[in-house]
Amino acid sequence: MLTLKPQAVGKAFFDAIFFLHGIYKLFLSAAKFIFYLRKPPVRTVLFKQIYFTGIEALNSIVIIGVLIGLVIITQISNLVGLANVERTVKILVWIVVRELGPLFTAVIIMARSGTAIAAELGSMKVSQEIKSLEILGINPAAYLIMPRILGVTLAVMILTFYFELLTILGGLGVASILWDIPFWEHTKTFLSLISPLEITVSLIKSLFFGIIISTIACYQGYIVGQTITQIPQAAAKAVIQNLFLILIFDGIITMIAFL
Amino acid sequence: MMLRFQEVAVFEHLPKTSFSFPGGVLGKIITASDYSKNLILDLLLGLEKPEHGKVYLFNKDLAELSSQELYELRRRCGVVLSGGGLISNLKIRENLALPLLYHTALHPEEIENKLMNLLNLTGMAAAHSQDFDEYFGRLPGPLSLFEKRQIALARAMATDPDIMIYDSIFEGISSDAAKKILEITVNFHQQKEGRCSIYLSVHEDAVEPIKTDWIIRVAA
Repeated sequence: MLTLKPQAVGKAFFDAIFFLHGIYKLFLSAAKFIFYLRKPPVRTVLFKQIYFTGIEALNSIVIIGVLIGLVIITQISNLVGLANVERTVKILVWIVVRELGPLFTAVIIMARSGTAIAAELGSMKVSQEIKSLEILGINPAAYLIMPRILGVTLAVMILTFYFELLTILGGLGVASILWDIPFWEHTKTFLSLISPLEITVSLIKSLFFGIIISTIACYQGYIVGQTITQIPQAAAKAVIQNLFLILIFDGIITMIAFL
Repeated sequence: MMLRFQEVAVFEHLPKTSFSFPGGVLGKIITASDYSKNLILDLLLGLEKPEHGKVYLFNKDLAELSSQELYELRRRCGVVLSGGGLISNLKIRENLALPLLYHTALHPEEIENKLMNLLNLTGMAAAHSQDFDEYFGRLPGPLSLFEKRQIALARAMATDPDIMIYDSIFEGISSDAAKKILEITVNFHQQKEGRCSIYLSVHEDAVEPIKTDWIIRVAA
């Protein structure tokens, strides 16, 4: 029989508080260096991060978006019938724009870029490269962390928009070929039903998810000790912590916006 | 006084240690262990705080400075680490240019000229005249220890620092390579009036060729 020790619960609670405080402090310490974007090396890190997180992830976003769109359209059509265009599109908007768009994009980026950033910074920590930067008079928060947080956040916001567009239009397009669903009718209905509230909520979610993914990844990489074995552990921790915090924020934003 | 340790101690690792380096001095610090050598380097750059005593860099008490002020002071120091300390995801050319691009508002052409002068000074330009673009466009991972130190040396010299610190730079390389580095560092020391150059080492024989009376021996 499993017994829950009070000490374990207490430790987990304080570990969580310590972790949340740590990422909060890291975010603030990086954010105050936003004006360092005037320095060419900092801009280079930002552009590289946008390229890696945004441009290189496009293939995955396109494929997953169209497939998810097809699956959702199929299930909705089974539920409400092929003739019920307005209801079909309304459910599509609710599911994709309000929830799946920001969530799925965040999960893809978390798995791809979150782990890479945690591993990269952890590796730099172990090999003393972060210390080298400090010796050169370069603040790691300004050069390494701030451009990564900004780059990932911008990329997540843009990719979320692309994902939603591809999911809806791609799904409708494939479904129109396979099941003779009227594509233009559904698309016009979608454009008439989508509201500023849905777009704003989607944007806010993707903003928060981008900040969470990048900050946690940078935090886990930065606190790696002196052994190489801690690097994959940092990447794994970043994924789990990201998942929890993204789902919590998703729930909070959804309840605030739609209840 | 460029650098001053005033009764600096770290429990179990560094006994009470006092020394100073005025401007213009070329000196050596010989420690009993690698750990205390790295600790002294961290203390004098403000990367660690002593448990007792004070560290002054450019007459400023490092304990009184904010983290941003410490970064500003470190810009006036050039440090060559024993492993080079290069950034592995930056090409050699990018490693060399990083301090100038980050700390100065020089144009790319001015930076290019400055780096060429330094590469000529360190002998790297001549050694790679045939494959210049290809060599300096590589990542630094596969380079030899001597090459990494040469690049780190050129990078440290780029900002014309007031203090140069060399961490075990003669060890682990051939005697010819060590002589070459010694010649470059001594010449560079003489190029700026008041520049202080400090050679850190665990092995006294490694820094024996450096002719100076300013020798600090740190006990275990």
